[in-house]
Amino acid sequence: MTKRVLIVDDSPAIRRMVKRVIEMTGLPFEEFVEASDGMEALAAWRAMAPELILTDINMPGMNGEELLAELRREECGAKVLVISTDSTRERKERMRELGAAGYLPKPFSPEKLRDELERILEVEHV
Amino acid sequence: MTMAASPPGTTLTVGIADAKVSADAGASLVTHALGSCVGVTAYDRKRKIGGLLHILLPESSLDAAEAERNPYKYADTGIRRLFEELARAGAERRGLEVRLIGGAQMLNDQGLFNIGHRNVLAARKLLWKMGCFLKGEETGGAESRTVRLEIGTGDVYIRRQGRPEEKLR
Amino acid sequence: MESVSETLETMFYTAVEEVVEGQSTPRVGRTEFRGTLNGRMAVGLDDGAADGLTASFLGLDLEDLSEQDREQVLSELANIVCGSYLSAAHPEGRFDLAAPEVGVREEEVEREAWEERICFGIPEGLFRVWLAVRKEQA
Repeated sequence: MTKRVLIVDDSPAIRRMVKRVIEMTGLPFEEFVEASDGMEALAAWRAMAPELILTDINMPGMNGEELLAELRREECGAKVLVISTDSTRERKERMRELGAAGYLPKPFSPEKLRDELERILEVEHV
Repeated sequence: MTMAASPPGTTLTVGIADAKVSADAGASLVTHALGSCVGVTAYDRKRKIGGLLHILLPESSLDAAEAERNPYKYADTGIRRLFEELARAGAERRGLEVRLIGGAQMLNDQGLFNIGHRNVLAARKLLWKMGCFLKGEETGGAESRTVRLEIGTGDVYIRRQGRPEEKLR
Repeated sequence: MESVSETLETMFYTAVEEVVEGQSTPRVGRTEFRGTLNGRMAVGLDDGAADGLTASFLGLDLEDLSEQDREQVLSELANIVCGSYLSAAHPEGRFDLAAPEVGVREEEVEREAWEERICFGIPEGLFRVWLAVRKEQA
């Protein structure tokens, strides 16, 4: 079965970097879709039902918090990893309440992203 | 770079601005005097092939002619060449266990600003460029280190002055 | 600033070497924030720094960079430096960060009011930060 990942961030540079790290991990994701804001992300989720969603918070239009609220309403079963410069306590708590499985603050190293992905997907690298 | 089989328990020493690769389960690769220099260990656990590189400076662009003569002197050309040698020995890049050791801030850095730290950054940058995760690092501080990579097990041991050998996790 | 060092080292594989004066950083990314603190931050790079940091972030060689790559990385650099600064300054606060604007002219930025300006020398070139901040009335 094809495994899909959705990467949501208004920064194309970060989307590229994140995609590269996921490819490096050897995790079985075959399809990558990118979105630059919450609205695009919702449309992508409805169209492809990814197993994994990585999202920023601060984005123009619909932000990450609003996206998660909407995904929850639509009973999205994907694992969500939030990647954001916003590591304030209030925001982190709010995102977890909305169902985020993990939270990775920017800046982050490739290893930190890999570790967080493996933690939420419950796999271990060899 | 020699790849001859050696008698059990052999220690192959890697000098400054040098590297060695081995597929001999009885061998250990060792390098000494990692002050601001950085030692890079790389190990293919499945095939039990390993390499050790001892770099001196961060960027080959500092002296392209010298890098041509000895790529192992610089982090970027050194790590690239190490990976090439490992591939030639049959190692796979994916899953390679890479560690960085050294990059300390020594008193006699010859006025080169924070060269130890820059060496570590340059090594990390190259690994990212080559799509390789870092398994661990034992870097910084102000002391010289010795590192040993056991080919049979992939275990990496470091030694700091006046202290017993420690295995890196 | 701590967030500058942490950002540069973690995702750009470089480090601040010294503080410098009177130099130009023509490539500028500017952002605004609101919340516990209101204000603006801008980040400036010279060509060497723009090339080096872009290549480092994306894991590419210098020869393979496009102008679009440089702009995208500058935008994200401004975003990370600003956001991580705000989170570190007020971990119990809240903020919203606007998407950074790039292609801003340095002369224009210099004419605005800033409380802090600092320029660093990094191995790749020059890196400057401008900051203007006011605490929100409680």
